[in-house]
Amino acid sequence: MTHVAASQQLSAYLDGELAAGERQAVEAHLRRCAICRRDLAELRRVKTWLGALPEVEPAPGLLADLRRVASAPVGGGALLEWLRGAVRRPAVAAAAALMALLLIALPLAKGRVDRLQAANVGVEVYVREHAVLSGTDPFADPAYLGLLIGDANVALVGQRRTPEERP
Amino acid sequence: MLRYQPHEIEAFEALVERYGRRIYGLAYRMAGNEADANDLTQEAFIRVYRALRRIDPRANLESWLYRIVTNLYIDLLRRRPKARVESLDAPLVTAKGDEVAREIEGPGPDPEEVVLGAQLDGDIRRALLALSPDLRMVVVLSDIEGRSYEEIAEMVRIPVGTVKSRLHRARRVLQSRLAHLMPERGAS
Repeated sequence: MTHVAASQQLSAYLDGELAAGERQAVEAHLRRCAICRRDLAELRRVKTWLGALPEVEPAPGLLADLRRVASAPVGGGALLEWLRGAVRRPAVAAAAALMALLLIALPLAKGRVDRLQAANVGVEVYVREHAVLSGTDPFADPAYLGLLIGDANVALVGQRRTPEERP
Repeated sequence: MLRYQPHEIEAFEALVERYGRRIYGLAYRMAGNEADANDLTQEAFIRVYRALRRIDPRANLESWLYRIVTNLYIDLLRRRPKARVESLDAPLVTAKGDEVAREIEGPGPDPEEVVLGAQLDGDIRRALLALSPDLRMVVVLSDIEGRSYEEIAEMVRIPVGTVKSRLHRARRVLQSRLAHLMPERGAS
């Protein structure tokens, strides 16, 4: 075994982590090489020093904090908990489903009514109303509601342009 | 909500009692400071608590805990990549572009040193802290915690060959940093 190869194995030799063949090769080299003998002694010393470092004591409150972990809730977040609760309480789940349905259905119906109105009152009035409403109550704004439904523009765009509007 | 029976909570508290100090010690030696050590230990026991019912009482709990702490520490290093590149050996570059060696002021008379009054321990601890986290982790697990190469490989999730080479490099660095304490060199 070369000096370089042997010196690379000194830690593993020290730890008894070498196979028999390698161990014997390192031992044979150690008998010949004073540098490696000194290195081995120093590596052993490093290992001994580390092992002799005093144990670190945690701050007094830490173990109490750790025990307190047992009083904290475990598992998923609040939403997950709520969902689990809803499964156990069908009435709550039903109410939630109804609410969701209303939230979708109401704007749909209202949007349609608004668009019919827009066709009646004409674009100018509709746009003016939109300008006012979008400031005061954006969610009741027919344009916003139309956006929700997706085809609000169709009703407006479908109207013929007046001669003045033409480029 | 997951609710444990009183006897399960007692079992958890027994785990804290039994392993808390040792896990904190490991976390402290790896991270090198109290704040991170506290966080790592707390996080480790939160994971233990969550997994309480899945714990096999016959399994090697200590190794499992060590693995948790090691992985938490690796995560911590990933989140804080700067901590890895900052080497105390690297010279500082001044505004003029000159390189100056760092004058590292020891952390002052820290409690551990005062209690022991030991220069040797202080030097060893500082040398250990100056190692890169990769090397420190392996040498702490091996030489302070007494783990085998195979156990370390499993905990750190690296091949045994890498454990072997990192450990050797770590000890070599420590050997040269602590050369002044080596009687083999006729240290003063």
